[in-house]
Amino acid sequence: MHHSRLNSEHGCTSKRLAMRLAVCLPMVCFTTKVLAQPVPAPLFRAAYGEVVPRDVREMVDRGLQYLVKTQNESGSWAGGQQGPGVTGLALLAMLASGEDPNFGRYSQPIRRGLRNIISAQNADTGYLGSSMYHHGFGMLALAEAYGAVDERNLWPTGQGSRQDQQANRRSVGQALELAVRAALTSQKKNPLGAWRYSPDATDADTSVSGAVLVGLLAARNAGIEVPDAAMDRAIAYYTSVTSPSGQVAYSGGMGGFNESIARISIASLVYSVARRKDLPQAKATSKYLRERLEATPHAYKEYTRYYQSQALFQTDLEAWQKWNKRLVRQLKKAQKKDGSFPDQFGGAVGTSMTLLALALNYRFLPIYER
Amino acid sequence: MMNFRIDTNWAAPLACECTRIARCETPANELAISYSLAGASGTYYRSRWRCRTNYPFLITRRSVLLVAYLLVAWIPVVGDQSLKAQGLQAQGPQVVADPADSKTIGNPRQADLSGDVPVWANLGRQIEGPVSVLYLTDGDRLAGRLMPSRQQNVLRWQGQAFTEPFDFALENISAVQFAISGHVAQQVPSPAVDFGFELAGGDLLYGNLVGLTADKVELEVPGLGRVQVRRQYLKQIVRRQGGGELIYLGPTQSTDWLAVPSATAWREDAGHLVTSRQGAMLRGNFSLPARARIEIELSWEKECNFVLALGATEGILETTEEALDRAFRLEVWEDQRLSLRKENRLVALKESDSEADVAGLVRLKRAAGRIHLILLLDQTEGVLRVLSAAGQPLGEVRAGHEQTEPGERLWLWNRGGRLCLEGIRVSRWDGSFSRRTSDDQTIVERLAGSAVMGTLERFDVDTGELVFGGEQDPQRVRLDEVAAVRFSQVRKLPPLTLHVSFQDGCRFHGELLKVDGNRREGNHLAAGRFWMVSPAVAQPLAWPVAQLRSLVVLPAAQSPTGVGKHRGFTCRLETVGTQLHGALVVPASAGVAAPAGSKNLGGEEASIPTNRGESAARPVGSLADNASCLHWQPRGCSAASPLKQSVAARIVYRDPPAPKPKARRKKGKPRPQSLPPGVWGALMKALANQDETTAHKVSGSPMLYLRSGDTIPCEVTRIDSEGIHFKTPLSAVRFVSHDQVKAAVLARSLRKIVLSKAKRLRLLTLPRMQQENPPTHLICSVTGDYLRGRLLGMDGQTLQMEVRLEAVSVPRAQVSHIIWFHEDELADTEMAGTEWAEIGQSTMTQKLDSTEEPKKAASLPGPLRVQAVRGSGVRMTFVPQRSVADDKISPLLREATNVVSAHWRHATALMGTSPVLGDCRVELKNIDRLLLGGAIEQEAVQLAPQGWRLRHAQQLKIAGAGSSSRIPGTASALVGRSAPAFELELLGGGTFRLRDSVGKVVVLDFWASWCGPCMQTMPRVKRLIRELPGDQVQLVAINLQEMPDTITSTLQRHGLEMVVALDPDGVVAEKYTVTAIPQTVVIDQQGNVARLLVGGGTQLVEQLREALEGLLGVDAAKPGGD
Repeated sequence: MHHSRLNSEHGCTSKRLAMRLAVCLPMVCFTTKVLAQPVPAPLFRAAYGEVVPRDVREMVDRGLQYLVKTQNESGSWAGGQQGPGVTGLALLAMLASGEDPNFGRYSQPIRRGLRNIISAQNADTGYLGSSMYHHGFGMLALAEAYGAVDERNLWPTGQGSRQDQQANRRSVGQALELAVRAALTSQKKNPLGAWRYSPDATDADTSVSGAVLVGLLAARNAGIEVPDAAMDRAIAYYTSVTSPSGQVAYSGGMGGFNESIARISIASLVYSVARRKDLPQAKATSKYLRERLEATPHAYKEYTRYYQSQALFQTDLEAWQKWNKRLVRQLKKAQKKDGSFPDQFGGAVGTSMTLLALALNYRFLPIYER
Repeated sequence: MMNFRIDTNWAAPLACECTRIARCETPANELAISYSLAGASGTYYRSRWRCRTNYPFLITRRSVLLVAYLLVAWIPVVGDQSLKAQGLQAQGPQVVADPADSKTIGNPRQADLSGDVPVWANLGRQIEGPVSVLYLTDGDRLAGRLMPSRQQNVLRWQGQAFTEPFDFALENISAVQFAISGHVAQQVPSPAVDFGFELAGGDLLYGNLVGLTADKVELEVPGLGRVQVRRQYLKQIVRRQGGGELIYLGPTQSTDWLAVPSATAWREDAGHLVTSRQGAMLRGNFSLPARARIEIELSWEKECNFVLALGATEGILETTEEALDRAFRLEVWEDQRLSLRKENRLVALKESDSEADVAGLVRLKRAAGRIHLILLLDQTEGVLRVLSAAGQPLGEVRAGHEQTEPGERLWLWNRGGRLCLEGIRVSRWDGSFSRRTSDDQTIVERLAGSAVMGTLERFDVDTGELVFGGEQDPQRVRLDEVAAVRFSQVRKLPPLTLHVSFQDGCRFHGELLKVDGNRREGNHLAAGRFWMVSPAVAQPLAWPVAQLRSLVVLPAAQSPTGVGKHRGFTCRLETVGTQLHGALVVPASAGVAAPAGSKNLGGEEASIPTNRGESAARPVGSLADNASCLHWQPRGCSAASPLKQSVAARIVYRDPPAPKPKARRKKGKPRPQSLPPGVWGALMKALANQDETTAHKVSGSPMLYLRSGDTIPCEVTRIDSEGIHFKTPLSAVRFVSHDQVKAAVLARSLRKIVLSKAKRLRLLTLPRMQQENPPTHLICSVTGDYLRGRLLGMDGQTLQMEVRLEAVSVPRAQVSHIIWFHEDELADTEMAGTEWAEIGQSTMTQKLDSTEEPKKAASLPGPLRVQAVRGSGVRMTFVPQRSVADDKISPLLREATNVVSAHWRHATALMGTSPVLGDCRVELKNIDRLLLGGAIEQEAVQLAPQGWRLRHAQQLKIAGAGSSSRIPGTASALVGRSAPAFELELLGGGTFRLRDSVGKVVVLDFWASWCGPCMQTMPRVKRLIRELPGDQVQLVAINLQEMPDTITSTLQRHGLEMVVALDPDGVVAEKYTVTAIPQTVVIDQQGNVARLLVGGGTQLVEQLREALEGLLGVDAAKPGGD
């Protein structure tokens, strides 16, 4: 089944897209298949709560406008960290907005971004960019775009003439599959069964591994074959760094004993997305987060929020609703005039991650499926 | 038993015995003794006196009082009945029997001593640098500056708060104390001046003699030029280096003084030294001669309690207090007979081991006051004479038999309250009051010691000689040989109006002619010269105004009735340095029945007396830019001036009723004079009722308290996300936004709520976890329960809150009041000290000179804001647009109160616009106070609800981090100890033994390949050590629990060549308390741990460099080219 979907590269009629469109009622791009599989209204209300408040919509719109304005011609973002990961996060923010990626106001920026990620991919290894962080976030963006973005016009004809450029003009599906293969190869070589900055690393940390693992899980959800054994091995790494209290270490062995809501959220999220909520570690991390809804991270606030929102949403919808109220309140104050939420990695990273933390109010991305 | 003498009479001191009544031991193994001295003129007792004796006896306050009362009863028995019959009490030594009499004693401003009005108030706090203060006879004062005026016996004074100056008749003025700016040269009189010329009445001019004839003496005085003094008023000429040398004139700079216990204990303020600190001491850096004349001016707030010690020694063995105890002293004592009148007595005393002498000087009211004394100290004879400023003797003490070395120090010791040293002048004294000369002869004393007596005829300018006319041949004395010239038959000055003293030490009696201007300052001409005439000099003297130090209007010239009881001038304007009775007035042509909307000063020409220029008529519309629409007319002035837009002041119509003393406290409250420190003080404190809890009285009526201090009686109808909707009888406005609100009272509490300090602190402390999500409201239920959270809304039935992200619903009927927490309050962690208990109460006792500075007030631009405060506690802030006078009152009443002059009428109401309530009209008869400008914020922060502010919980400090004062890496317990010995195998073979490296500095770098920061830092540490000279540092990278293969491949990947020791079991890491890596340990040449640094990065490298360079003694250890 997966193979059949892999072959249909222009998968705008896929089941996943249909479901997404069903969630997003205001969208214009209705197809017959969509209408054929409507989500019953009462269930919709119960599962997804109320409409997105206006202030959240305005905040997200302003943030996205900032991203559109600051995107380079090449499709990347400068002025801070840059690479496929940064581009990927910005793409995710746009995809999560609910605007039609093929016709809406973000369709061109999305396509530019996708071309940028794919162009950066190593054609032989599938490695995206300068570290496995970039690889993870880039892969996630490819996975979420896969099937949602109409690829027929992704690579306009006549653009570029060099052979290598032509060689890198692969489809989103091809790029995603290649990226998955790279991540699995890296994991295979890693004695800990997880990832670190370098694809050849023999050590691992919770943070890099989170980026890659979530990307892999998204790819699997999108229909790319990802062996269960690989996922189990990665999950085993996470269980090994999760304490019974729910705290999660940065890396195996020494270091990283302090509380990090970001790490705990990553662990909780990967347990959930990997359908392993039954694990005691999953329960412990979920409980830990639930009990510290008011906690304030001292560093990497945007990064923490990005994972915390997803982890809470996946494990405890009620807790997420409470936490989200506070988030909206805080972000209203934090947003700059130009719509950005800059952090230490630059305007693009901070804004994208913040918008993605807010994106749970929309829940358009497949990775948010509960 | 010690012998004491008490002066009951200036002429005949009466010896009497001291009855020791009590004492108690102090920790210093001394005895603090309270003793009482009884004599015909009164009973004094000091609460405390230290000496070393061996009687164990415990003092209690009651016993002191008991014995004191017994002593009072005992006087008639042991006292000399015959002396008593002669009425010695009445002629007693300048002990003022009647408070009214005290006005005539000494300096005319001693009137303050018995007055009830606080004369001090805000003298200290300045807005625009040093400020001069004008004191009126009725106790009012006005900070500002002198302005030019051509009128005789009138001072034109520009108040700081006003845009126009006022004319004050001299008869209404008590004194002027001029600010001394720092740049005025303090070493005056100038060195070029040779002589001091003492005139009749104590006047003194510094100058050089340029001419002398039978009836005139001509002097050259710096700043004045040639001055012709009438010879019959010249008392003596004294060479400055001779008998009358000025040693110190000040206080001008704090550097002239040693402040104890710290330099901050005293502060400079307009040329004065001020302290509010109990126990603060000042020591002059000058040396007192054995014979000295000290003229001192002191003032205080509330109650005077100081010690002035003269001639204290600086022994090595003595403590300061001991030295002070042995010096001649002025002290403030409680006097049993005066205590009922709330008066203390200033006494002079001298104590030694064997004897003591004490003399009562003057009574001092337990209120703000001021004193000006002349002290003649003769340590060779052991006498201190105290005189009033006018030269009237007040008392004297004698050291008697015991001869001691003269001390050189002068100390001033504040024992409570706020004390200000306004002026001090120390000069040499020749030990004589005045040398008697024969009837018509002049004595010339030579520097060599000999004297010439005769009739001084003239001064020969050509030869520089004084020429005496003898019968046969005239005698000549060279002026440069003269130490002093003493004239005979000095005439007394007739009664004069002014006594002026100058910054160069000159002083002068005279009449004021005029003050002229010399340069323009903004719209006004600044005062330039101060013209005076005196019978003693032949021509008017034009003193530079900048040289003025103080000006005193002599009592004879002051109006006997004071400023006069003008009806209707009962309200009081108070601002920094100013307290001025008067009234808000309206120009007669404008204010009455002015049609709404028309500005009362709308550019019309009116003939209104103001003081600018000399013309009486000026366009009223042409007010200064910073003039507000409020005009103030001081009592006794015919003109009014607009208040400045930027003024921060208050106008008091009715003083709040005095707060009722708490009955429980009253019992135990010690008098300030009598509460000794140490054991006794601690005991008293322990016995006193320390109220640890706050009574929680809430006004029953619904109120809204705004952050501006506005207090609006209203009924809150609902609260939504925007703000509060309410109904008030005061206005049609129904809404106020959240950011303006501080508290709302919804309903009466069911019972008195008692809130302990601990609970209040807990309620107002923000946990670290909630730092980014602080609660915004605190609600209190009618039963006294508190709930902190975020108020979401309220309607008629329920109140919705979010408490720790959970939604909570509370029945509205249960809520007594709501307090708003604002984010900007959180930034300011200082909590105001007021209690919620005062909410809803109208008694406000705030002071303008509180320590709270108005933060916003100063920067708020725009028109003057006014807050009207009613007795009921209702407050409303508005921007006044005009003031109006009501002419619909009876003619009789108008005669008395309304019509102030032909040009001004009393304002009866203010009209303006409130930012919250819109247009408003405030009837002045209904209000207690008007707060102007910054005073609104000043008072607002003191209001009860404003004190409810959240504050951050204390931040945890990480050991060894963040403390800049400490050397980094020295916090570990291992530092300074011998480094734990170990032996480890090296990667690639061999063993590392720490003991083999003694004599070298060893750096241990604990690391692992999976540790990113370790891998980043390691090459930098290696580079640093390579840069250090020689081969004195050994770097060993101790790997934690990894396989050799892993280590080798990691090092290869990073291109590192390191000496790596293997710690496979983590044993060495444990010995070196490794809990996080990278950890770097520096071991010095002796084998002791010098530093233990945790963490990596640039910071570590710099800290390590510093540590290593310190150990190696390298200053600039960087190799050439670096």
